[in-house]
Amino acid sequence: MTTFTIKTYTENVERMYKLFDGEKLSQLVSLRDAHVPDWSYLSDYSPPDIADVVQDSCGKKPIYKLIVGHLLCVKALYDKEYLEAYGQQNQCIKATLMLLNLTEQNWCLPLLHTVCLELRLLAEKTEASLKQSHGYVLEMCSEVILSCFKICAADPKSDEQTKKLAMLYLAIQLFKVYFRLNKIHLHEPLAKAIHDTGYELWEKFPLKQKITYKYFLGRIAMFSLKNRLADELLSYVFDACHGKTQKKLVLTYLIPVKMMLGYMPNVHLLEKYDLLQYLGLMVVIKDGDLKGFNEVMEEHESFFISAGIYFIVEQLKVIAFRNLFRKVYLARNDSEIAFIDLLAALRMKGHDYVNSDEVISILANLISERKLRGWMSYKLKKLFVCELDPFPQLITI
Amino acid sequence: MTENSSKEPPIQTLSGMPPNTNPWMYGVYHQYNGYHGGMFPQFYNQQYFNQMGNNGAYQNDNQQYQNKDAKPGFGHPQFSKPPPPLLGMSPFDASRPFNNQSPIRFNLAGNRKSAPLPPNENPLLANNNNNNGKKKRKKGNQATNEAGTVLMPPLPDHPPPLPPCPPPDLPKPPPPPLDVPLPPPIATEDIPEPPEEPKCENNEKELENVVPNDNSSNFFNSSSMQNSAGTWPDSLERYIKRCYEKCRTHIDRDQIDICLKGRITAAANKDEIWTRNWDDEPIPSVHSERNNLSVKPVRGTLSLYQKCEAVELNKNKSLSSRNFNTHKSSPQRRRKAHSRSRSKSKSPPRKRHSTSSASSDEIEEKKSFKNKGRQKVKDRLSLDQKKPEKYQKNIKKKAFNQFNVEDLQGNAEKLQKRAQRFGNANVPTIASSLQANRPSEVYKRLEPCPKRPIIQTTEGDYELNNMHIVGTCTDIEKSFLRLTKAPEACEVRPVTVLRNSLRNVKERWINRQDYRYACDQLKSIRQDLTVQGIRDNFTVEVYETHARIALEKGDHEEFNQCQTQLKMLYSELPDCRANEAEFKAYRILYYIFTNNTLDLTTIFQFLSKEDRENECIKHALNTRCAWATGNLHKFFTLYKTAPMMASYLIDWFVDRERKNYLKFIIKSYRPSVPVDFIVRELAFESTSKCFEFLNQFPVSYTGSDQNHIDCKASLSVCQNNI
Repeated sequence: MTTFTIKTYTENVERMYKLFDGEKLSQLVSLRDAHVPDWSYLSDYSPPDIADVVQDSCGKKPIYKLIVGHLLCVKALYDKEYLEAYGQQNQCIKATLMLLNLTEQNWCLPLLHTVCLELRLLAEKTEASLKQSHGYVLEMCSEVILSCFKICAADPKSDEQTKKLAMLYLAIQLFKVYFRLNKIHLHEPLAKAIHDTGYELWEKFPLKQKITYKYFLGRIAMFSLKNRLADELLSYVFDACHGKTQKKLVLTYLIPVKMMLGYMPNVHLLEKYDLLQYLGLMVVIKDGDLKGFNEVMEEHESFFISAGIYFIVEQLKVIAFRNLFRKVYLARNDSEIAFIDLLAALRMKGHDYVNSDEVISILANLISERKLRGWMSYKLKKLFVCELDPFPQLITI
Repeated sequence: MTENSSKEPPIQTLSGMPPNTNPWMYGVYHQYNGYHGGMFPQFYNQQYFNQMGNNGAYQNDNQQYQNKDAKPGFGHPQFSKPPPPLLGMSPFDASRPFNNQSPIRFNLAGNRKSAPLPPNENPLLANNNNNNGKKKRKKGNQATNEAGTVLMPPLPDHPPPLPPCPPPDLPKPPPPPLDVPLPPPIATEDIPEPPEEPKCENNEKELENVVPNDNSSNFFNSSSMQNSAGTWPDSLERYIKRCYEKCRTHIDRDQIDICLKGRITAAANKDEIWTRNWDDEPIPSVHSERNNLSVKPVRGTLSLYQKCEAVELNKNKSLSSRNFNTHKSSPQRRRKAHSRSRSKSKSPPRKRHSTSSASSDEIEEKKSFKNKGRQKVKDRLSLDQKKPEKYQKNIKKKAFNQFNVEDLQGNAEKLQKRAQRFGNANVPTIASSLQANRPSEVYKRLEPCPKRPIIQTTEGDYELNNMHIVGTCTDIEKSFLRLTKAPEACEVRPVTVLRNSLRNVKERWINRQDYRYACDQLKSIRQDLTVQGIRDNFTVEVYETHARIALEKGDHEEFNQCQTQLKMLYSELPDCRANEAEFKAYRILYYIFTNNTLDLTTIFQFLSKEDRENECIKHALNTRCAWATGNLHKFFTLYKTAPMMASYLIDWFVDRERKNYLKFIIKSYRPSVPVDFIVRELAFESTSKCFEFLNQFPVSYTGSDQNHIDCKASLSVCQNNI
């Protein structure tokens, strides 16, 4: 009976292949498809047996390797041999590339998407199952997907049937791997390749992929401290995506970026998406409360670290300094402010150990970044702020 | 904040050069030797002798000395003191010429990297050079192996199958838990996948795709029926015949097969089978045809395309061997590619190319592994047209003369074997060291299971790989030489000898400060350790020593190699973590040096509470904080009070930050600031050093004796290109 099932399956796959039905085909070789849980009996087979059964029913056609790879991959998963499964999935990718090469059309791109996605998932699973793997399975995985990306990018056609349409999906998979491996700088050539394909092709990519792609670019921009770019990309993603969890995820990154640009989030928004960590942060920044800032950072450290934004959020401290100095300016109502006054304010707000040199250094930083308009006199130990709009809106800088 | 914020070091953003190649690093480095002279050499002595077991009284002395001297620290007494004797003997000035020529970079390793990477390092594109030859031979050899694949149009007869069913009486094992088969959505950073709604256009497109397919399926069946009944027009039959005549390889045939099916179905869809003029129908181009064509006119992108076809050929031919190879680590492949390209550059016509590209890549070369990765990826994508073009010429040449397929393959195999054997002897990247660690079991499991003809040899390789020799050489000194073949036992030193070697190196270093010698010796010690597979306390000591020496001499690359290895050694050997915190701190500072926010975040993530209490790590974290939040005064204060050898590491980027701070000061002060203030704030040890620094920039002075900087007049310093 089991032989029969493999045979039916093989025939099914073959039929879909002959029908050029990429979607169905991709479902059939997906590890997440409904057929997989029924296949526990594969454990009883030895790999050569499986290969033989498949060969019996479809011969050694190009599709053969795909089917065998998939079957063996499922078998390995049942045996909890994740590395083996990864290797077999790798075979599937190769078989897919071969199929892709046999045709001028791109109907089997869904298949490529699926096998690449699952290769990545398997690589992650494998990493988790190995001790001391240091990410090398993921590294190999990224190389394999990258080669798929290259092959697709090298398609000279640019019509409806171009294989370039897979580029975005593969790039997203690669981004995910790169984020895991801490190698996001590798995104550059991918982004450039996608950018170079031109507007026409960009329009052809599925919207869903475009959004995800922009989400990653936005995060990368944030890590490279390009706040404006990050704001632009992430705002777009926030508007375009649906679902609370997704929006929350975007907001996690969008809020600090916005704060850097001088926009404080609305309390309702924070409540709605359960991001109250930012609420405390917002209060202390507005207040220029540096002691409070440190406390908030400590309190929510694990959240910020797990989101990978601890150091990004930390930079909001500069804004807190600015707000504090602004308060001093408003209290003094004078364009001349002695360093002593600023120091006193700083000490009041909890920076006991701060000395006047540090204050000057922070001021110099603010002034040269034009977050504060004015100048300092070394001789008089005073800060002179501009009469007109000494604390410009951060977004205008 | 603007994009060009103060946090990004201007040097890097402006000149586009990697930070460590900036001449100022070396040019200015020697200026403040007096500054460290006071305390660091002492520190070394302590470190080295510590490890050499002499740490009794000496250390105490040292400690006192250090405390006495370092605490008032950076203050004046230190500067006014004549430089300590050690200094005079050598350190910075003596080594300067080296630094400039950078001989310590061991160009052996450099060559490897600098040659333009041919894309054949790619797992799926491996062995792309043998297109032509292979195809022809294939016809012959093919039949034995994969007869089935060749004949797509007529369904092949199957070889007699093995009994497919398992013995029926075999008891079925209980079904495994449900969660096994599908790798559950493993805590990835979830992307916000927008729901189905927004992809309506998308759906439409898919629909379009689906519909004709469905049709075609019907027609396909019917048309094949027609075919069997012989009801096709003659012209069509002729056309089909013509098409198949063009085929030379099985791939062509497969291709034609698919094209024909497509066309006939399409025609059937439109009811044109009988009406179309099949005699005039263009014949689809076939694989081998395209191959021939493509060499000439199309560059770059097409070459990639070709390659993947080539892969396919290869795959068909010797699937298991190739596939198997591709499973192996990237670094090996990388190395293979490198060495091959090195051999290429020996041929005269290439020479000019390779040298020029080498020089331009020199910049890349000094970068850390990540940047190499970038280089690599760029090449692979072949976004710029030059390299592929060059490469293609090579293909052409090769195909016809010296390298025939066999050679290449043999070469590749040899190279790979070699690469495997000497895994991480001297390769800087993390990846390479990974490979050294990789459990052999991993290799085996990655192998594809079905039918592998060369299983024997590969298995043999593994054993070779795991088998470590034990050296018999007794020379204390041995120069580093990159291995090109299996090492002989008589050339490798056992640990006992290596211990003496290390002692010798340390002594010599303390006495003479000859970095070139020390680096050479340490590298050869490291190599011997690797070859013998020794990873223990002593290995840690060797790497630590080398890291420290490289740190002092500002050899970024060696330092990075060592610290990467150390990171792994520490994680493997819990007993050898005495100095782990120190090197963690260096790593944090190193990431500041490379401006790597993400790596900083990651390392921060894994710091334990105790780690953060550690003096070195605390200092490094504070430095990072001051650096990131623009509190440069604090940054320079911390620079002055850096523990252990941290200030050597900060030296690597201190000038970058000085430049930053100088810009801040000039921008924010009016009308002028005294130079003394600059000296203090920028942590210069003397006014003259400060002037030396300032004179690189168009700074204007004012005041009675020119000891004030006129900020407004010096604003040009802040222009981006300085």
